[in-house]
Amino acid sequence: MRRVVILVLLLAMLAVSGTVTTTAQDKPFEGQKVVVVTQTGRSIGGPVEDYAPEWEEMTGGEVELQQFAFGELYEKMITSFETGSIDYDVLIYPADWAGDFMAPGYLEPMSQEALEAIDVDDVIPLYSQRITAWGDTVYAFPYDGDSHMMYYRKDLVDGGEYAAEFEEKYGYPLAEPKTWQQYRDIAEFFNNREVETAGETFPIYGVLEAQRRGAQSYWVFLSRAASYAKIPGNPCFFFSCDDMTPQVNNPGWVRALEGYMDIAQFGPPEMINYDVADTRVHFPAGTSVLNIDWGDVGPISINPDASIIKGDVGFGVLPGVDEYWDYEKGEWVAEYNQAPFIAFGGWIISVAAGSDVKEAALDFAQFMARPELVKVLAVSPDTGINPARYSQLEDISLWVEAGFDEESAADYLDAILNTINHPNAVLDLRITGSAEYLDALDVEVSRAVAGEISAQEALDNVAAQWDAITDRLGREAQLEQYRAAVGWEG
Amino acid sequence: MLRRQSQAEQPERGTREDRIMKRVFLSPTVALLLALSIFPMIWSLGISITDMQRGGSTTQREAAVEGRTAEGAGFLGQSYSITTRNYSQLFKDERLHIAARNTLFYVIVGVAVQYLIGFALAIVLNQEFFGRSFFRTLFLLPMMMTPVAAAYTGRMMFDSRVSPIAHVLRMVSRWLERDKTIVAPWLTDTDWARVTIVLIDSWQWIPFMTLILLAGLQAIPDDIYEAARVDGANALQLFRRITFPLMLPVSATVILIRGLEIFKIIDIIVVTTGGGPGSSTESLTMYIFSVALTFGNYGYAAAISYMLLVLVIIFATVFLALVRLAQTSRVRTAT
Repeated sequence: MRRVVILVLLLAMLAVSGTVTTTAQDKPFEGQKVVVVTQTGRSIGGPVEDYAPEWEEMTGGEVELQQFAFGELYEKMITSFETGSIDYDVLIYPADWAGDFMAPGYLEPMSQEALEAIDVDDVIPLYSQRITAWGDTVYAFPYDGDSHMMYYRKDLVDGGEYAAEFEEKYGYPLAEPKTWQQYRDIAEFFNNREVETAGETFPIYGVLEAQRRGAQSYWVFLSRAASYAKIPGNPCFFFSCDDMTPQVNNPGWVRALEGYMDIAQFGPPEMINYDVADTRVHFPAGTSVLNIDWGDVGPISINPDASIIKGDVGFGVLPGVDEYWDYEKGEWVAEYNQAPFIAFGGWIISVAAGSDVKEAALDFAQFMARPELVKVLAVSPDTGINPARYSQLEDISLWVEAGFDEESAADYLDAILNTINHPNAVLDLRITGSAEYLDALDVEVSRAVAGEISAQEALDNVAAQWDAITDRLGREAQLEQYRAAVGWEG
Repeated sequence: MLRRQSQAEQPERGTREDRIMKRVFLSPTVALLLALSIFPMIWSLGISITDMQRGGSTTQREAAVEGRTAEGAGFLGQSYSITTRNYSQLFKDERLHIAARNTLFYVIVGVAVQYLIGFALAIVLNQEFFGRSFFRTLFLLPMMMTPVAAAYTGRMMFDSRVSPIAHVLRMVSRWLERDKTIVAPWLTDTDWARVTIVLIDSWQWIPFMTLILLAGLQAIPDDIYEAARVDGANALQLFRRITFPLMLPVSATVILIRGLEIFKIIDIIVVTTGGGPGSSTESLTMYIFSVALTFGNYGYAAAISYMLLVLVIIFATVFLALVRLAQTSRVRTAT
């Protein structure tokens, strides 16, 4: 009897231990909490909210999402690193903060195995090799592919009832603008004009561009400055790669700022306080002809809950200029120049090097960056995720299924591909202190737009501040970083 | 001449054991105060005279490029050099000067608006009328909100196109039969934006003024008013000769508290304008926040903080001196 009892007990223990082993294998991160940090709102953070429960169910781990306003996000992340508190395990952040996060070693390098798990070969090299890496080491998974592009109302611009009047006034046919001058002409022509939108006739504005200070508007200005001041074949746009002399106040940049100030008259009076969050509400509501933004507006424009201009939107690469400033020669060059701006570079996902739950964090980061998921997210409105993979850009059916008509889908994907593959494309500033350099630009541009100072004064102030920042951070150190960031080969 | 002994000169009372026990019980508070308040102040004063910044000092970063390690001495052995650069920068930084001007505008105009309206409301709420308790509670509601919520409310109210105020302006335009609708650039014009920030801050904090001033009014004995009325004083004289002078200490307290608070204004500005348009609404605290946490220039941020401290001390000293002057002249007039 005693033996039987022992046998039964042994069997029971085996069964229990078997169950426990099975549970541990099925739920490898049981009891572990992964803290994820990103910006507020549905854009970028929304997919984490939506898909984290699926990961929790699969792994037994728990995800805590912490979201902060974009203006606070950098401070929250950098403070966590600098104080050593490591409050976040997974960080979803803009790629141009790489100089401050990757360079000091705050992030966990991604192994080849981890990169293969997200099918890194499917990612466009611009994102997989440059945006997510510092030097030769990859520190992040690509999540979102970002570049600025132009949106316009093709039902008004591409031929139609306004073509003859426009041509008579400006002396050339009305069509998708290829230069910033044409862009201005179209904005002026349609501003305050009563046009038909979704069956109703009401006046519209010429343009919607973000111009709010302390938001994301300086990228819109940079999108304009790139074609005026980027020299084809010379990757050094923000600074000279000889000695880090700021180029921000050269005549090309100044002309671009004058254009950015001038265009404000063809937008709503509140445009000076508009962030992209505002323009993304107003443009799909049919209130303007032109808009500059990231790729997000494409999926938003086909969302019936947010847009009344579905199918009426044309997509284009940022306009160019008929002459650009060559700072090496010190003169204007009378040649067409187009320089699309890879603004921001996209949101990327990293794991904190000091995380206590590194394995679980890496697993969750892989889960969010996997091709099957980002493919779905890229075609969904309000996710903030734009295409960064061949599988997203080459599969037109994906976009048609999401609600685009075939012509619009092809137009949209062409605009993105032509932007990121453009030989004269400009990468965002990715060096230590980029937040400070860009803040100085933001403030002075905003002062110029508000009429406090002239374009030249504003950009002279920026140049002086950029020089001071460079000197403070060490000119040689900054020069070395800048050359590496733009791929300068001497 | 007989002279009262100051508190410091008076011998400590109690037995030796009592005195020791007193010190023992006081020591945790003193230690906490030293650790949480005095030490950070001294530390930040130290930082303000160094080149401490994110990513290491200039010397360290240049040394790293050359493949060597910078000398380890410097401020508190942290390799940061002692420098006066941060303080000399205070005189050259145009953005700082604009932020300082904006802050002084918020303090002077904001406190004046809040005090005047707050006092008027306190006087009204001090009267007997039907529903007084209801209105007292109603007026206090904005103060209960977080500043961020108040700022969002303000942003919605002061939108030039889609807001209740814009709607009223459209109605007024129609009533006046104007060709163009009146559009007030509340947050889009540099001058208007500063005023709008004051209005939003005032909307939230006038109830605080009202609350304290109402308590002060209720503490004034009725018999003083009755005596004055017997002497034939009218309402204006009652206010000028009794209410206002007797409320001076309470007024000084609320003005000082609100003044010091407005010196630190940041949340409303971040939500409504982000410091713009241009640099028209950026405050000193907002700039310090950017310099320290966005730019990582800790040395300079500490120097600006000390500049702000000096400004606050000057404000408080001048204000208290003026109050004392007013009280003295009142006593002289009375005698």
